[in-house]
Amino acid sequence: MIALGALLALAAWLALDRAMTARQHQLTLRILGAAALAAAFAVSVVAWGWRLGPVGWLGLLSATALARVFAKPYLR
Amino acid sequence: MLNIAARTGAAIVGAYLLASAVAAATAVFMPGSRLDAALAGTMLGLVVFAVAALWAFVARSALRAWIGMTAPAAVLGLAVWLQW
Amino acid sequence: MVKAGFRQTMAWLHGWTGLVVGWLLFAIFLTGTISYYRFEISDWMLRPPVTAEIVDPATAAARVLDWLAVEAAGAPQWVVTLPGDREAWMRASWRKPAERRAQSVLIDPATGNRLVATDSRGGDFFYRFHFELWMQPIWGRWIVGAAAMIMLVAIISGVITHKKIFRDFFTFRPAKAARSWLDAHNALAVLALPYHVMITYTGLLTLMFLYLPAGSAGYRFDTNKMFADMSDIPTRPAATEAAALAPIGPMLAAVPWPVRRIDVQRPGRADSTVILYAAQTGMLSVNPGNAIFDATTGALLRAPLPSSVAGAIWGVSYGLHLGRFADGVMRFLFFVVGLAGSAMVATGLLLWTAKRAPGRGRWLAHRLNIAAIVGLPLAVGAFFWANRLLPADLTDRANWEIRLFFAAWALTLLIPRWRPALWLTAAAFAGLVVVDGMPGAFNLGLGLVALCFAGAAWKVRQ
Repeated sequence: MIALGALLALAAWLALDRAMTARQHQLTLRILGAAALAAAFAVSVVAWGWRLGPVGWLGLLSATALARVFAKPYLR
Repeated sequence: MLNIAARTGAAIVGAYLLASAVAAATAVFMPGSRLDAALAGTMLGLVVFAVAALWAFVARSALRAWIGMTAPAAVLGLAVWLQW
Repeated sequence: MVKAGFRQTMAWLHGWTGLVVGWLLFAIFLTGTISYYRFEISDWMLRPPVTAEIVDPATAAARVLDWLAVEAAGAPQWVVTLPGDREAWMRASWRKPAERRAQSVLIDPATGNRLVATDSRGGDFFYRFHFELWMQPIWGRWIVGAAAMIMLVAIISGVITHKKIFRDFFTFRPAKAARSWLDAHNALAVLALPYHVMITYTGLLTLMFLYLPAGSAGYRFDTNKMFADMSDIPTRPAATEAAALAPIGPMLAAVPWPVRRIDVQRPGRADSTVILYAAQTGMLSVNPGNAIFDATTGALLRAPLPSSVAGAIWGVSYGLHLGRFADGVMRFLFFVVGLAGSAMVATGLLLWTAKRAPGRGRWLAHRLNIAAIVGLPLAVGAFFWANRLLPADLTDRANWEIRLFFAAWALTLLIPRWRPALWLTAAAFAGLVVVDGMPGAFNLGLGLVALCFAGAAWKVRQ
């Protein structure tokens, strides 16, 4: 469940990053990214409950974003 | 150099005085339980400290920074003292 | 300064505040991050021989209280911590009137007797260092508080300075010296910004009455009265005749939540009270609830009260900082983001140093960087090595481990280049895994640390 949340967050970051430089489909990518972030939130609440869910969500967001940014140059 | 020193002084001493005054005033004047007022006042005071310290470096002059902090602090402090 | 624009002033302020507290702040941030695994570290260092029998809390509590009635007779207060998800042991603390320091021992829940474990502070050392720097408490806490407040100013000025906060979100260009440090610093700062703001502000909150005593103005600055109000323990008329403690089982059963801590005030006297503190499972606040009983009769004196709004905000803020509610994956996420914060401070220092013209200032900054950024992890390794090598019956053993930690850290000031420091640290942690030889998550973690430092040593250019 948490792994799913991490994947959704990562997908969101990939979509939003692509959206910044994309010439076509910019809006689509942004909407997909936002949707993935929202889905990750829902998954976090399922995994951790309403109280800890939002905290866990922010943690997933930060951790996946950091992993993405620092891995990116080495993955080319 | 003196300007920076003066502003730094304001950021440390002046901001602390203002933060304390805000904390004390909130603690004394906020309606509701004394304990809640103390918690709210102190939590607010910390924020005031950070913002005031920052402002000390963007105020138009070091003197303005000092006055801008000590004057309100004095007013709030007086209000607290009078309330006693 | 007056002529400079708003953003330039913020950038200037960010640079100077970061520099003034950077080296200290890295230590505070890193030891705080390490403290997320405080109990696991204590378990690894103390290796308490806990009997692997599942004991129900009431039985375990009853055993410890019986033990305390003998060992700590005459003490004005007993505190018992029940086993949790992350520690299998119980802890009993008391302070006899004649003694200056409190006693705190580990108890085996199965027997109620003291656990004979290695004399070490374990993870508690990092926890205490994080907010006291292992100094006189008042001094240490003030220094850490000042650093935290300056950090808050650095965060705010940093956010204002960073213009293209979203575009630069995803930019990281490695192997480009100052540019890379800047990219890394920005990414680490921005991508975990909610955490950095939260941890810094809530950190100040935990000791806020020390820093801003003016908030007790409503109590005419009588902080004792304010703290009494906060803990909300009703005073009882004094009655000094001897009286036995009622069974703890019914008291534990009377509260609707699992109990974390049992606090017995004035044990052995007729006016003794028992305070039960709720465990923090699934709750953000550090004060999820407490109930007060008459210790001699077991009667409920004060049922759990709901928190006020301000009380709840404070409890949740404090709770967010400690992160005791977090388990497993969430605890690991906190650890990762905490490391990011530490790295944010480190990259800031490295960036500042890289932009400096060669000279004495740069040389000094360079050496301090090595000692602070790699020296501290190396000292942690030395601390663990001391734990494994020092003889078990050495007097004052726990303090010797700590002395060796500080000695190792001081010695790292003599290391002139990054590469030897990084290799040494990698070797230290790898060696620990070999020497310990036991499989388990903790050693896996140590191994990963070794790999990270080895990787860094490999990649670094000098």
